[in-house]
Amino acid sequence: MPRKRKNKKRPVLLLFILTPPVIYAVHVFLLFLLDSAWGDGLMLHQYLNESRGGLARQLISDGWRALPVFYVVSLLLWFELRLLSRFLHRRGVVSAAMVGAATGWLLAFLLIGNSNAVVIPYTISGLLMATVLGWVAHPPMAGKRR
Amino acid sequence: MQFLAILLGASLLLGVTPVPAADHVWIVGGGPSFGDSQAQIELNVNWVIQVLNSSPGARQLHIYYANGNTPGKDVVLWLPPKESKETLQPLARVFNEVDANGESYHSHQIPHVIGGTEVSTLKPSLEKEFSELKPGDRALLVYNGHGLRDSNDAAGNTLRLWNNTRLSVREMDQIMNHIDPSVPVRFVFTQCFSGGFERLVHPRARDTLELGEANRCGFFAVAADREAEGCSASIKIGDYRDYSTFFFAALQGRTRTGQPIEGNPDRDGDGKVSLYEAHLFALSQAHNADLPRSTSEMFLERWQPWYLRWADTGAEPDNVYETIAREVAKKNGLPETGSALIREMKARRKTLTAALASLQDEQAGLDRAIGALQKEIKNDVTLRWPESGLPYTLNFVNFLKKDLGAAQDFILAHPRYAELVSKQDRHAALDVEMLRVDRDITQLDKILRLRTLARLQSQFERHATAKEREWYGRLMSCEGQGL
Repeated sequence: MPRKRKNKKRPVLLLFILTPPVIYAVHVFLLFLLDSAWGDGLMLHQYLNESRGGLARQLISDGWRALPVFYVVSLLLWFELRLLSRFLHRRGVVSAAMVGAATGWLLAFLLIGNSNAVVIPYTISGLLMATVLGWVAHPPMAGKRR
Repeated sequence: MQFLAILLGASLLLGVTPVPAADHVWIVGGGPSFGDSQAQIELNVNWVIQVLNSSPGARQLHIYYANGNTPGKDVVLWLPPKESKETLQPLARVFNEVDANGESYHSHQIPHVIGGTEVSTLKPSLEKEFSELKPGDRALLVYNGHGLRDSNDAAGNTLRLWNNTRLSVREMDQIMNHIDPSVPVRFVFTQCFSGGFERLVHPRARDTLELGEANRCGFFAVAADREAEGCSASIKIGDYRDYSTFFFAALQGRTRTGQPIEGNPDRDGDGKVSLYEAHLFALSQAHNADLPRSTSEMFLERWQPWYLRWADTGAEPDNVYETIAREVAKKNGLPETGSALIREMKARRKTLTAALASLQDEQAGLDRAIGALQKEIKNDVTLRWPESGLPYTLNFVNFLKKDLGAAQDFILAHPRYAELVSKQDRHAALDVEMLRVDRDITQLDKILRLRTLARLQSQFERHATAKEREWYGRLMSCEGQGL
């Protein structure tokens, strides 16, 4: 039976706008988990014993500085995914996730630090961001149709 | 060379001799009113003067204290009064004047005071003296008194000066602008919320990383939003040991009571103790409720970029702050490093916080019980001697003359008086216990802060720009000078 093709236009632009802030929020949550589990627990300490308002202001002010970088990285990943699919004939969400993880790892390793606690959150953030972008660029259904 | 000789000869001929550079120290101290100008502050200021006078090198002292040279009592000393009728203690206990009954007032005993600290006189005096400093001079400002917080802006934090006047960070910045920018200006602020005065190193006391043109640096007992030890009960307890107690002990090599200090503050082994080393000594040795900081440390905190903020918070880089963190942990019976330290600190904080909450609850309960007991006994006393409830009147004078003995005997024999005494004594003992717990909690905060500073310094070495390094270097160079 011929499958009925849906002419559904995805809100691609909206995803491009929303992905970096959402990934940044996830990134901060990852930092919180790592800080609480293997670090000094500074975030929880500040929340419980120091100024909660101060912590909130810090997170917001850091967020404003971080977001432009997350947007730039999302563009970088987008171009990487385009190049990958154009020249290597590799497309799909899994490939995108690998590219994102590698990019996040490389950027963190080169620019920030080489310890696991530094590299892990950036690697996971890169992986998640690229997964979303990969899904936007090459949805799984499209792969199956080919 | 020939030119220099000619210049020297000419200046000698003209009678112009170069004025030698000098060190100047400003000491501003005392409270805002006689009731808040504790003898402990006077004690500390006198000791600081002694330290400065006994230290190598010459320096000119400019001392401003409380009401200055105006006649009048401007220092309060609290000592627990004897439990006897002669000290009116029974009457004071019932009429809720136990604190006031232990107070005595005197005029300050600070030598060579130029004037008082009332802002209307202090400000022009400082402006005039600061403007007379010339290149080659060095300035040190030590403030020993009370402070207030502006919860909206740290640059609005103030010094509480005589006659309940105030001087804000911004005003102090304007006063210091009279100093030649090449003159190193060091400051030590020990009051509550003193960290707000860190803004003095930034242009127009703004909340920015950039340093101002002036060569300033400083040390503070606590953060801009935290009370210092001097604002706690210790100011009455007699076990007063604030930041300056340890800071100046390091510079003198002896404690305020004349005992040799524990440990060697000269960390770089150059035979001299710099102000920065004195600060590190206070960090390492002080077991009090202060959490001190320097301008260079606060610069590192300001500098930290978002991408390093919460990253790798378990790292333990090898530097002076990590060393001191280990020293403090060891002194407090904690593991020195690693996850064992963090686990133990969390467990101890939980215990201490619970203990503090329980003490606070107990004290709140005692407050209510004491109030009820006082009301009951006071009612019985005023029923028999109505004059006793009318202070500042002739009635009260007559009561003191005629009925004081009988009224106090009545109070002492009252069936609820023993209970009142017991509860009031417990209330006072709780102040001491809460201070002890607060000091223990502060040690945990200090270890965390030192570990954070250790990571910050390590991150700064790797990530800072040339300009940021220059600013940090300026602060370190200023803080690294001796007295």
